[in-house]
Amino acid sequence: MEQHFAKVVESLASVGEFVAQFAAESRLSTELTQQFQLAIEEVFVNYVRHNRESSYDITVQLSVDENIVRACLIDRDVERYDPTTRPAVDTGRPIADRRPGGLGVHFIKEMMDDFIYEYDNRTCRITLIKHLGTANV
Amino acid sequence: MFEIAATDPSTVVLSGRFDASQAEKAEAVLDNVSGHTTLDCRKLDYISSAGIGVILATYKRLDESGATLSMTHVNQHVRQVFHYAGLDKIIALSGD
Repeated sequence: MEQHFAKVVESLASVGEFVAQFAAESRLSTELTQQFQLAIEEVFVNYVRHNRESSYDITVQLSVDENIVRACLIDRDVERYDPTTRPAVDTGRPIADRRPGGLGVHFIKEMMDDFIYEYDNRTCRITLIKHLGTANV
Repeated sequence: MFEIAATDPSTVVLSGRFDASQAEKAEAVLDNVSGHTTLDCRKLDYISSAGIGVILATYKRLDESGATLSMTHVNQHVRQVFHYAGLDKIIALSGD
């Protein structure tokens, strides 16, 4: 399944509906669906906030095969910015030292099995992969 | 659809999908709470890092004034997100 979304955070509700439709058709578990909802939102928001130089729609591709679920988000005509290399968030820090923000990439790394960044010809492609156990489908 | 409303001076009810597009709407309510506050999450289906950020900022502001922030009726997804954020040990969460 593939769909294009305007590059604004107001698209997130529509993105969520698209992911829910895919998950229902693919019979994904509730837990896995919510993990993909979250990881996809975090990548989408990352594109909106860091790749401001273009206004092309963001493409979201979803697929499941051979017990592997993939989500691919594509952002066109942008500079290189690789969120997979961001340093890990120390979630054990005292509350006084905690600052809002920076958790999105951390969530993706916790919830997905693979988090892949590719950049070519000014096009950014981030792929999220989850390997399924039989309990997930 | 995300909704947030203070139902009494110490309780704020959240419902629906708390994603990044709803952060400002939530801040408009939570920036005005004071004293011990409970977030009633029985109808909150989903939260992302943006929502966590708003709640963390509210927690810190209340904590600095000697007040507390707690969350009730937290579902499994919301609890898992707080766990991955390392905040389930800091903010009091209770389930159904």
